Amino acid sequence: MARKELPQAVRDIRYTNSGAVIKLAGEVDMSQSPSVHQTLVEVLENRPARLIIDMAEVSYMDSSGVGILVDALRRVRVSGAKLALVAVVPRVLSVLQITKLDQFFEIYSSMEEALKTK
Amino acid sequence: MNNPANPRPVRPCVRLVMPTIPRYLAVVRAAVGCMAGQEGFAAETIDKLVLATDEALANVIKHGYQAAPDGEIQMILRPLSAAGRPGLDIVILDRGKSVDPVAIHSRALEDVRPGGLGVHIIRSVMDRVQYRQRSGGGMLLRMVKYAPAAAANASLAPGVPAAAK
Repeated sequence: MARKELPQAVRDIRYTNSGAVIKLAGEVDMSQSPSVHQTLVEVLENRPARLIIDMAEVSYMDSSGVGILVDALRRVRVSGAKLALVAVVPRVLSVLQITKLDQFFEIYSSMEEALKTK
Repeated sequence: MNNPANPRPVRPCVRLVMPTIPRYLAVVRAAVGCMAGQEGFAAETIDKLVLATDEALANVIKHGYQAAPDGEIQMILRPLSAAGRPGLDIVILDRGKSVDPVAIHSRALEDVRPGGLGVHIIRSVMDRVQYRQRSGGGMLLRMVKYAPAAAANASLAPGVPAAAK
């Protein structure tokens, strides 16, 4: 069965024993956010115990992209799961800081660090 | 036409027109980033300028045109006069839905939910923000970011006479 084609800003999705890892890439703006959001919703429907969003290749994110992260956070909290952001570049971290949302996310500098923490 | 004996200083600007189609936001972001770099802004400030402009345009698409793809947004990017305090003046004009500027405000950030963050970002980043309703319909948004003093000295340039047409 053919693997469903991923949106442009979603590089990879993989499931592990502890949850799911989504790798985003490129510029997550108004044009990309709807498809990324849909992908996150679909992944969360599988109820992973932990969702890790790998942001290492995300070069830009606007408030629509941040909104997706916030929505994902709300969804995992409802299901009792956890959400972590990994390798957020300074430019994107700045958006989270300007909107004072950085305090609500678990943010790790590397996947290794994120995976060490349960 | 300019009088060669008394030339008017040229006020350079870049004018852009984009359709209300989100995938063209990347084009404008690139232009704003390039222009901000030329005006001597630091990398971190350039990123914020690009973000603020992007948020403003996204709001026009979403609220001014209800995401309809057949609208047009005009932008004027203008370096500020060397005689004053240098920086970048960004004007965004549309013929979409008109809103009372008093109604345009940031929302409480303590309310953690998606959406409604654009105005907060714009007001946080820019030094001056002005919304105006346009006669004939639509909105004008003017955003100004001043360059720091060191960059101002580096980017000062004398006005040059306009070339005779």
